[in-house]
Amino acid sequence: MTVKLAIVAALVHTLAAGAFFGIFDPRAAQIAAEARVWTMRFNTMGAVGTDDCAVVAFVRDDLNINDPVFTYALGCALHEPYTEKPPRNGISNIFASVVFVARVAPDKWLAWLANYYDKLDPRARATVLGTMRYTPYAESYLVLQAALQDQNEVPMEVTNPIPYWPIRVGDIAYSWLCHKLAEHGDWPPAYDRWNVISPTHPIANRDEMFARLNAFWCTNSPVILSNLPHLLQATPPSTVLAPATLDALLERIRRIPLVTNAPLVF
Amino acid sequence: MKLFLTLCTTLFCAGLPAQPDAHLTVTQTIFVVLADGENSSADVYAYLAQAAIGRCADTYIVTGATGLCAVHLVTDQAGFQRALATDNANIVYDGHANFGLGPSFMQAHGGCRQLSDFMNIGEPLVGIDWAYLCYDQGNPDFEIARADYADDPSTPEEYADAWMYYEELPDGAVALRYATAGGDKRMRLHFRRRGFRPTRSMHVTEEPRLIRLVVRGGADDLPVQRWRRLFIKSCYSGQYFFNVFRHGTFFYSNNEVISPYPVTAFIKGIVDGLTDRALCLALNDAENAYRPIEFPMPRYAYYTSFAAQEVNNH
Repeated sequence: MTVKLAIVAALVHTLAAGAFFGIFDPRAAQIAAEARVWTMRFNTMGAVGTDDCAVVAFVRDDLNINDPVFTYALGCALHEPYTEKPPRNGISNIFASVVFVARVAPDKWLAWLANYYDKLDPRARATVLGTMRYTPYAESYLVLQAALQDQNEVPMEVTNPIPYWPIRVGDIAYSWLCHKLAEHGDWPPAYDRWNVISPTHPIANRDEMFARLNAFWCTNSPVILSNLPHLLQATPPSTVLAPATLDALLERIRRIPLVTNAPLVF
Repeated sequence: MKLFLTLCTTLFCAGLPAQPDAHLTVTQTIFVVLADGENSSADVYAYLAQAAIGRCADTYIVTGATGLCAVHLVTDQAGFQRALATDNANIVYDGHANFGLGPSFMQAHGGCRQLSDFMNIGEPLVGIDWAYLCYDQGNPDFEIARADYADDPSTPEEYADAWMYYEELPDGAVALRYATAGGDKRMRLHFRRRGFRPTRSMHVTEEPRLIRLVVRGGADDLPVQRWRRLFIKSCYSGQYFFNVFRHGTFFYSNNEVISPYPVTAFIKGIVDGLTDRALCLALNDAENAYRPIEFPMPRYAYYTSFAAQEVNNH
């Protein structure tokens, strides 16, 4: 009897998953594996005043994502065992949500960004830019390149050393763009020493680094982008992301007001 | 070059010879230096428990991409010195930078009490935050001898008046440096004593800005360097140690770092035969996989000195 019950339960589970993926769909295992990575994050969200159901509802409804694949993956993440509790305040909901959407449903993620990006504060924009490293699509390069112009200061904890200069959203976009270019072998190894902008980089030196990157990008971006997968050309064609959506996102990023002459801080 | 490792006691793991004095040929030697302030040991031990095929005391054997790798765990100054002096060694250090004074291994002894208790591998003059060293980094009895203050000997009328200047590093960042004589673009510091204890004091510029207490650090404990790759996982290790480690490929942070994962990522990277660039990318990924409080951003960089490049090319 027990054996029969177990078989029935296994069949029900398989059919439930199959409704989303098809039993042999390779995406099932891949998405489930990625979902496990985010267990800690979503448990953290649960620890700061929400419960699992609220998290699911938040991501599904507030981000307007009803994709069954995403919902299933999120469910996998929520039901993994708790493994680690990060120190201090934990990570933000926006980071957990945006990263997960970027991983699981990148087309919906860009559409969401197009609606919300310019409403985010600098820290949240920096967080969103950090998620770009999780997607291989060419559009992520365009987003980072557009964000280079965002010179608004990101509040961050700097205890040492002195002096330091404020980190700006564009500095973070610069660092991630270099990171992605290096990761895919497009960035000259001789430039690796300039991959990271930190609080100890004077503004004038950062300007030189931006100029070097822009010159490289202007020359090489057509080839680099042509070798990457494009969301706009994804097969099957996305029903969510239209060319106008990406254009709207890039336009919103460029519309962020500039702040210049960041002061030296002691 | 292949290194020979003699395991002088019994190896107790399947697949390895079980007799004393067994000889193994290893293709990579990795030293993991865990000093005061480290937070990576749990992650490192978990990795070694899963990956090691043999162990002898604090040395673990791991199968790598090009052969066996020896991973030595080191928790004292002599061990770190031995690592730096080992030909083609891959070294990862986790612990406090102590404002550039160098590592400390004194936690079990109540912390450092004097400058020489640190492993001095820094610049000749180091600007420290004395109170932070005492109360935030576990050295409550740390005192500085009068002779250890930086002083400009040409101005005997003023005590402990060092000079400060900025040094631009090859990656575009700047670091604070100190000298006992004036020079181009140098700023004179003045000594201001605060409170009753002699070390509760700071050097300041003409403007009322808090600077540092400038002391004679130096690199007396630095051995002849023969390592190949060195990763210092400390906050702002690039600013503090860039001029000291100009031997092979130096992996450093130019920001605050907190994750316990990059040390294991470094070990895995060496075991898997990653290039220097790929190794640095892996370190940044490991840092940001944990970074729980702030926004994600790359925090590690690497630099291969020209001397090391020439050696590698030949």
